[in-house]
Amino acid sequence: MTELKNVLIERLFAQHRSALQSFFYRRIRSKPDAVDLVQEVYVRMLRVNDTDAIRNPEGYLYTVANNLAIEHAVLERRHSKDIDFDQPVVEAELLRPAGLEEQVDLDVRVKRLRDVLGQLPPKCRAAVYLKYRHGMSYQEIAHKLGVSDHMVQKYLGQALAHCRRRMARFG
Amino acid sequence: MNISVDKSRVAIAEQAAAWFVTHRAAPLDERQRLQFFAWLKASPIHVEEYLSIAALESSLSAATEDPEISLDALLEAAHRDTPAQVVDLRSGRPASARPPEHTRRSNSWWVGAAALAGIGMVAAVLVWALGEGQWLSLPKTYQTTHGGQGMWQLADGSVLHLNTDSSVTVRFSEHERLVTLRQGQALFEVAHEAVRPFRVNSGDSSTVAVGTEFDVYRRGDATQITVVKGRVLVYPGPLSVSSSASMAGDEHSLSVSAGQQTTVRSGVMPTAPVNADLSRAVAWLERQIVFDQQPLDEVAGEFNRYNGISFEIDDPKLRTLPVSGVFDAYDPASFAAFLGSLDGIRVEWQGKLIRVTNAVAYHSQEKIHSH
Repeated sequence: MTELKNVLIERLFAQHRSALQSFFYRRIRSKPDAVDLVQEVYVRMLRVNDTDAIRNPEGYLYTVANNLAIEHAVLERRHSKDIDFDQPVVEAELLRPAGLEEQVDLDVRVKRLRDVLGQLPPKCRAAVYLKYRHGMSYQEIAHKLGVSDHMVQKYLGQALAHCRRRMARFG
Repeated sequence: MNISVDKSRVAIAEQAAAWFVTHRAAPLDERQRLQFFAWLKASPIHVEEYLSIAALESSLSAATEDPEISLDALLEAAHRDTPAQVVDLRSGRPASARPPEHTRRSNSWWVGAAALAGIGMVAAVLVWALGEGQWLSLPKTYQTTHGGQGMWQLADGSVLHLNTDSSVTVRFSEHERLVTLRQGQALFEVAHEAVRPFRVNSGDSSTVAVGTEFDVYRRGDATQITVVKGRVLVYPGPLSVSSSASMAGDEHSLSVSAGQQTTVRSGVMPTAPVNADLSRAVAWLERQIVFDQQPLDEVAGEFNRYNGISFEIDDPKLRTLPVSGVFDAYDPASFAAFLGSLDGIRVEWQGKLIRVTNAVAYHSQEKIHSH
């Protein structure tokens, strides 16, 4: 049951991944717009009165962010080209493979992220590679490193927070 | 030279990352689910950090797909690693290079509120803001407008941060470095000089330091002094220039150390400093307002310091209502939306005024809508 639920969450996240990346790619391009988007996501989360009705708040958060990213893309197009695109078209646009310029940015990001990973303490760093390159579960990583599950979670949390802070200027 | 700018952001990124990892360990139980929701609702910055970490995570597969890194080497390094080494590496530099004040906290780099060691890492970025040429003895005034903030490097290498609606006059001589806080709030990162103490006069208080980092906030006839690093001596009432430069202190002074705070009212000083929430006290450097069970009117007053839009709360019961959250100081709209989401509170926009009233008085459960 636990496994199944995790798989569902992973899948949900995978579905929204491109849109989320676009969402944050945009924020480095036009920061004021992206800040407004985050505020709007926040306000929509606040409007949830019946917290009980939402069994998966994380999935809900992604869905809200995703929908707003799409709405935003629609509005942007209307403003810039004065053409009324259908939502599916825009969604396809968001999911399309990265353009050249975007690809260059992505390469720079990946290179920078590699440098940042190099700054992590050894156990922390090993946990990141085992998880994201080798796709291991927390339990498997714990076994490999000879530490508890709890420590693995701690290492990965530390690594993500560190990367986030060091990558903040890169969107 | 150290700067506290990144502190509360680091703490929030750590909370967001911890939640993100927890979500992937097992489904949240009922209590965790409510906690996570409450955490998201407490701040738009929480939402931003969580989404940013989610977006970042999606690049990790590509970043770790690095042919130059071998798994064996990683595992070998991990097994060789001793706890002592972890501490050193986490701080990002050798322990010996760290100023002594930090060694006590060397373990807490990753831990939320006490992320002081992170300070050094942003220092390099901020040092470029060099001050303009300054004559040794000519007084110079620095000020900010309503909603503005500023940062300057002074002639001695100290760094001055000014919050909204603030003004200071700086006068350096051979014997001392004298700063007068005329109004508002300032944070000083004082360059160490053994022979010239750094003195800040604010209303009926005088604070003396040699090399340290502290915040002075002047509100009406009260001055609140918060020490981020090192130690200062606080005197009730301005000191004469000729008074002793010694940091030994005397019966007229109060010694305030890192992590402590004191408030001087009309020349009367409390007998002992109290412990301060540092991330809250210096959150303004990051344009944030951080509050934890603070009365609503105090929090609303903080937003009003920064914005052209102001909150008005008539109901005395609402004014004392304790609220918690972390907000961008320049985003009163999110705070208004947050208040509107609370039970029994009605929020109404009237031009540049946001009126906060008791919803029951209106016999209405109507919630506000932004825009």
